Amino acid sequence: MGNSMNARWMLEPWRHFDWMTIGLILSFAVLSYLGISGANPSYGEPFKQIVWYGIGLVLLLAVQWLDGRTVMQLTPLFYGTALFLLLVVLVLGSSTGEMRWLEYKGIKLQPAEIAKLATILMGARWFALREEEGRESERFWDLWPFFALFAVPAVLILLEPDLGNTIVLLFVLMAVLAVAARVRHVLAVIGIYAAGVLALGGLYWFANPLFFKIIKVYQWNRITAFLVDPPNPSDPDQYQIYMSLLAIGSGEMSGKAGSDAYLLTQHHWVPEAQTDFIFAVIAEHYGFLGGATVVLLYFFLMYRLIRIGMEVRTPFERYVVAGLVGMWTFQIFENIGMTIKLTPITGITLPFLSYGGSSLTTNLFALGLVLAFGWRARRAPRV
Amino acid sequence: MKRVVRRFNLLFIFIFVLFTALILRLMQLMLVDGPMYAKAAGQVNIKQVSEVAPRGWIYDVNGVPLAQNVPVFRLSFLDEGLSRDDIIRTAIALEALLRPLGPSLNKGLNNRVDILEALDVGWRYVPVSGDLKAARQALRDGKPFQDAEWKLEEAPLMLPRHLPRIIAFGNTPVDLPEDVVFQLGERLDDFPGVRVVTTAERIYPYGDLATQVIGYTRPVKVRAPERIEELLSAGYSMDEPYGEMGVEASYESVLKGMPGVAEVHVNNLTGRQTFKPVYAAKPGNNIVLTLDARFQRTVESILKEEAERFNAIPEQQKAGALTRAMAVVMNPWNGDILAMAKYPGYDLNCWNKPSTCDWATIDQFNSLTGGGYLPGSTFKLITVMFGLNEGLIGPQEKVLSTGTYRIGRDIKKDWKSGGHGWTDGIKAIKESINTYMYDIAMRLYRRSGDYASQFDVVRRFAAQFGLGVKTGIDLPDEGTGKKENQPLLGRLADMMIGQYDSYTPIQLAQYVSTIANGGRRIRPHVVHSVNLPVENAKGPGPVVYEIQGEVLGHVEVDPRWLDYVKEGMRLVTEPGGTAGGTFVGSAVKVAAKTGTAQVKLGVNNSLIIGYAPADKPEIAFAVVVPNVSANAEKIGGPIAHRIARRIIDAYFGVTPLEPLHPVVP
Repeated sequence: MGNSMNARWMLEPWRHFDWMTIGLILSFAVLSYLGISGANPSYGEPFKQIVWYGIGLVLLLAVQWLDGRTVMQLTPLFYGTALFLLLVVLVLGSSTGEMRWLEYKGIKLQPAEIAKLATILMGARWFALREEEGRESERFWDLWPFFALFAVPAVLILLEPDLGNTIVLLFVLMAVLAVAARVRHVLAVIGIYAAGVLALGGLYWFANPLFFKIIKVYQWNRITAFLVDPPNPSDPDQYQIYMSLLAIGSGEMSGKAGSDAYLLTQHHWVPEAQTDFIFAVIAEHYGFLGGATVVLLYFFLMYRLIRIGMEVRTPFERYVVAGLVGMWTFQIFENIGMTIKLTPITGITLPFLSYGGSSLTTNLFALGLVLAFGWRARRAPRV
Repeated sequence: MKRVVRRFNLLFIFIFVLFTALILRLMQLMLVDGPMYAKAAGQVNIKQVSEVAPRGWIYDVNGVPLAQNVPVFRLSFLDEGLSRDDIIRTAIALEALLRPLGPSLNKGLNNRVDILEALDVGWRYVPVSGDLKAARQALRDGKPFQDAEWKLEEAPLMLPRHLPRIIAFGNTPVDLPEDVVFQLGERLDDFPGVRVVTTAERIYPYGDLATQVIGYTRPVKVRAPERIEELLSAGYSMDEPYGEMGVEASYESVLKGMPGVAEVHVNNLTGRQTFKPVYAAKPGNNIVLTLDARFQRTVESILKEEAERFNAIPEQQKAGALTRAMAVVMNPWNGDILAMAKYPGYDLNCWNKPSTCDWATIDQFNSLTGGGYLPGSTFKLITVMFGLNEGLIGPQEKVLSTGTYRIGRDIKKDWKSGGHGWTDGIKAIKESINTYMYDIAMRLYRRSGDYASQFDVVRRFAAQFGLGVKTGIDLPDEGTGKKENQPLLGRLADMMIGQYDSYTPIQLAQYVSTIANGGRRIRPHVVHSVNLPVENAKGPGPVVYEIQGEVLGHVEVDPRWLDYVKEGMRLVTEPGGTAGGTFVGSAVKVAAKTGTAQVKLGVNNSLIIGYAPADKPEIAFAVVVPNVSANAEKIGGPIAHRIARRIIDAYFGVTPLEPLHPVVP
């Protein structure tokens, strides 16, 4: 009896499991391997990435036995740990200048990646608790604890300084609100963002020195480099985008892999090719067909996640899915956009493709949570 | 629940819009602009390096090389993405290699401080304390290098990193002896980035032979900045030789060849550079000169001996030493220059080792084509033909020479006091009688009623023979002599005896050739043919094209008058003629006209022009010796005449030609 119970428990997740998403993830694993190899890195990164994929997939499968309620209960602990790690990075980094990593025996940990997920869970939990208590937020200011939950890690990440991930958090906040909050509250936040941008613009025009105290000159140059047309390769801020455009554009329809053409990404002309600019590697090697395939695969992934988001039964699960979809969508758009001179260059990685253990395992772990919510929703049809 | 679906749909639409934007932008970038980026991407990692083509050789008419390339072994360095430690190791290894060679071989490059600078890799040694110059000099003088005294600092690159550097001390490259090259080849691994390259050095085996004809080359980089720009845009590189004078300059495009192209592929991470030849350099064509090196050498020796003989005469020393003596020998039928010599010559190899030559004594100027010398009586052939052709005087008509001739208030003289008596044109040439020429000037004046306009009439006539105009010789910077501008009647008379306008020796040679060949002005040329170089062949190779004698014009002179002056010229070398004494016993009959042009009191240009044999000319010649003391000539004899006689004897085999002695192995 106990034995059969145990077996049922073991097998239960897989009956309603979203195998299609696992298929997508395996495609990304292949593309990630090809992309990292294509960048020809020096320290065996393609293999390491596959190892990280293995670890991440184990995590993804392991969390299938966690239900939404348990996740919600563990969330404050997770959130607290993430904030602690951010503080550690900040304290250690204050002596050496910039720091985004914690390193232990050669394994690097990027707390910002974990903090993004923790913040999504914490924000979702806050809305879910209010909803369960039947306390719908009528006034905009009732939402202040939610904003505070986002503001604390956002400020810590900004201080690292990691402007890119800070902006990711701002968009994640929007995504959660878009599903959880009233329309006027969403519009209010959009208004606040717009006012913030306007205020910065005002500072830039009318109090330039003050503006450059908030935004560092090098950050500003890097951000605005994507506006220069055509980019000038001898300007260090524009070199990367110049080379990226050359690599991607030269991929044309079917790419240069297999031809005897000289691959720029293969020969290290595009900086950060295996991490932030991995899309350039894939597009140069496999052309428009390869690049468009990546975009479509992401689109399918987001579509699957949104379907799950519509199916899940608890508010917490719903808001977590919304936050994750927001985070990934923004990262995908921003990362691919920056390689093709559509958006400014920031240090945001491409989910599931860029080389990097922290972001990959965190993302696979987060995806595992979504899938865990998903099969439970499908197991018991909605009443 | 409806609200949730609506909200997620909104999110989905938002995602759809963003992803569509990505796809559209990708289409634009990769499909519309793709070909443009593909083109640019193909060039980003490739740097082109040009390889200088071997320069064509210059041979004499018998295939004796007069300008050739000898291989020299040099060290070239290319930073193939070496670490700083590797570079320092290379510098130390090179120091160990070069130091024992001694200053004559390592050209002063004997210490790692200078070597590191020669490598030009962005690092240099500076002394920890004290003066860089002094510390460096101490090393050059043999002080051993002490690590504690020097530190490394970053230095700017002199050349782009992808260009191989020839290891040199300043501008003087280190030439390695063959045994060292051999040693080095066996352990090149100890010298990261170093390659032994074979380059060509231009040498002129016979030193000062035919300096004015052969000329020399200089690297592009020694020129004026605007000229450098010009040459670089024409595809030259900084160290490439460029013809400066003589055939080296006038046939630059033939000798140069086509540079080869190599690509340096750069890896952006490791900085590793790999060398990949694309197409080989095409060697320049060879040139065969019309000169016979041995005859040329003989003519040069004759000029030298005669000039030095005169310089030994005290009277000449009083008037100042002879600084030049020039002779041109050409074939009057096809314009081949058989010898073209100027005393003094200088060793053309001086340009490769400037320190070994005394530059103060070197007279580079090609006065044979660029100078201007009063022709004296050699001009009288023009005067006689002009007088006859214009009908100013008849062939049988005689003029009385009394020794003096009055023009206005001037009393002009014949060279023989008391005069020559009744004289016709032939006698006037034979004995070089001024009165006859003055009379033609006066007749010209009387006929036109004006003298100022008549200078140009005479000049136009003379120009048909090449006087006062470019002869068209294939050497650079040809001059046209010098025109006077003193429109006086007395000067018109002076013009008729060659005391007015000045001419170049090559003009005089063309002039006498025109008479010798019956009225065809031939373009003189020093190049016989352009030949295709054949690898490992001894000679100049198969002919690509030959330079043909080109007739520039036919003189508009009655052939009778040409024959008339030729008869006069034939008599010049007969007893009683002005060169009669010099040509006594000559094996061939020579037709000539002598000239003694007074440049100042007691100092003359000594000239002779002519051709031989008189009845069937094979050669035409012009000899010009400026600034000869009149008194020295009374002792030493007429110098130009003697030179001409000796040249003719040598040409027709009466006296042997001189053997050639190479000055460089």
